[in-house]
Amino acid sequence: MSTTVSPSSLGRLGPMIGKGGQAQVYLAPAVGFPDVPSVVYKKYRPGHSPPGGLDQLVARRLRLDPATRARLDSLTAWPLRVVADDAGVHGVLVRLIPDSFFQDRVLPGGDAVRSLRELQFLLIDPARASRLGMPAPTTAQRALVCRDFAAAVHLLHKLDIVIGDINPTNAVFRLDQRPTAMLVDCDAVRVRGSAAVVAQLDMPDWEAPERLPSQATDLYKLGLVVLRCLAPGAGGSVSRDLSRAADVLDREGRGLLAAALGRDAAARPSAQTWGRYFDRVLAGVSAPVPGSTTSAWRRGPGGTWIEVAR
Amino acid sequence: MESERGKLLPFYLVVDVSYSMQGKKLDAVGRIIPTIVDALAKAPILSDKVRFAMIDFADDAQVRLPLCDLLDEHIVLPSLATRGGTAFGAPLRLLRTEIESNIKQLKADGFAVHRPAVFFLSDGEPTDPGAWESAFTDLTYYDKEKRQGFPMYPNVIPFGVEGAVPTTLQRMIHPATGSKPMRMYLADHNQDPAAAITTMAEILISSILKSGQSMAMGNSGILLPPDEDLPGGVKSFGADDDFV
Ligand SMILES: Nc1ncnc2c1ncn2[C@@H]1O[C@H](COP(=O)(O)OP(=O)(O)O)[C@@H](O)[C@H]1O
Repeated sequence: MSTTVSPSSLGRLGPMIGKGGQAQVYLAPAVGFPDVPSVVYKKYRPGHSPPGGLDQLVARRLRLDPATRARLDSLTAWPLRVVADDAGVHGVLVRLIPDSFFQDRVLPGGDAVRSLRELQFLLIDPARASRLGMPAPTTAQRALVCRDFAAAVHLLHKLDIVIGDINPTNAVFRLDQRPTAMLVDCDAVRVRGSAAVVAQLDMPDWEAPERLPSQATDLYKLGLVVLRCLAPGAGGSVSRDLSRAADVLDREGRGLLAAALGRDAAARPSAQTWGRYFDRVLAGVSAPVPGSTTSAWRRGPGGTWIEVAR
Repeated sequence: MESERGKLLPFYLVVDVSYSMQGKKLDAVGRIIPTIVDALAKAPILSDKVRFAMIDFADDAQVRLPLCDLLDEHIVLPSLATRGGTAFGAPLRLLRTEIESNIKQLKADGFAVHRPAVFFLSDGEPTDPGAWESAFTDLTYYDKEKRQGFPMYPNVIPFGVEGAVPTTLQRMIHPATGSKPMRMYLADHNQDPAAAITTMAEILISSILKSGQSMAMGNSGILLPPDEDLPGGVKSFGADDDFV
């Protein structure tokens, strides 16, 4: 299957739905795939198209068995196709991030906006998040988000991917339906053993002790995500102070976090270890969902979430 | 890491409220801070990185918003009114005392602090020639070897609209040379001044976002947007550029 499509094959583009430092994002209503019906075109700004390697990311996805591919598509906005012609790479097609990851809110100045619920909103003081029109989740809901974030990292690591730039604007969360996280900026990832597709500019507050990105630095940053999501508040997006999470993690969790944020790269818990840990914790914790304060969630055998009456 | 509470970059917005600013220009200035608040509401972790203050000036200068976290619940945004001449010296002197006491306070609160950034917006020629220059030197001069001058001197980025005299504002670019020279922004001649002020607010916000996302522990500090990203109607100049 071809990893590349030409710009002319995209048909009429829909409205621009977002723009960042590197790309403009358009709806692409004429494009769709049987397994991913709603697609956006992320068009790189001139001079910002990646040096190469996107093909490899697309090919990696296309080679997966359908179940794994569906899982990849539910946990990430993975590049579906490269958009290129003789002049070079213009952009990528990725899935449209589902509505459930967006929040309608009113900004302090009075404008009504629809915002991606980026992980950064989990890091700030919850009272402030509510004031800004964003949810202020409970600790259990945060743990669920961390759990699925760990699941995404685990899946990518199993697929031999280095994520590299894990930071709180590259992932989004939702709390309704089933609380979960999704990694949305995947064109900066790379297949282990090859160069990064997009030059990686780490946010300094998310740097690992080792400079070169690897799965071990991903695991360090996963530790930072856990710490900062579970211990929100002033300074929460820059802190590496383990004691901030002392009240919300049990002994085992504190041990995992200390190892994750340690200098010994080999001793950092894998994403799977984190995932299993949160599964165990959550099986015993109540996670209030809207309209209910009496249910808990746990993972069933197939990886599905089961609501547990308490 | 130098400080567990992180390292903050203080921004000082200095705005001219002399009589010539009356009307749409002043309204546009009044919208700058609310626009910054909305930008922060979309990137709230920047509150772990930046602080804001606003000073207005005419014949005198006043702190209208003391250095603060703009997302703090209890902030009251100032309302502005015009009042008098354009004495550049007044805000420059006030900046020196504000910066000195603000940085002391932040350090006492456990933060490390980046070199502050001053955005200085005016639409006119200073009415205190001969006086403002020495106030500017007091604010910006520092000799590291001799330990003379003001060690907390800020980076200064002048913004000029309508009526501003480019060659005067250009002298306020600081540092003018060296490894990280600052720049000045001027509205195009035919540009509506209120629109130009709004554009300058965009430049300020893009500088806040860029600086906040790349501030490494220890180095860096303020970043200005690259010229190719500048919105229309405004151009940037270095300290040595000529005006045609
Ligand atoms: N897959 C997507 N579905 C829906 N909206 C998206 C998608 N990807 C990006 N966007 C929107 O576009 C904006 C910019 O995208 P982003 O990936 O952050 O660009 P950049 O890599 O240039 O920073 C996002 O903030 C979001 O609002």
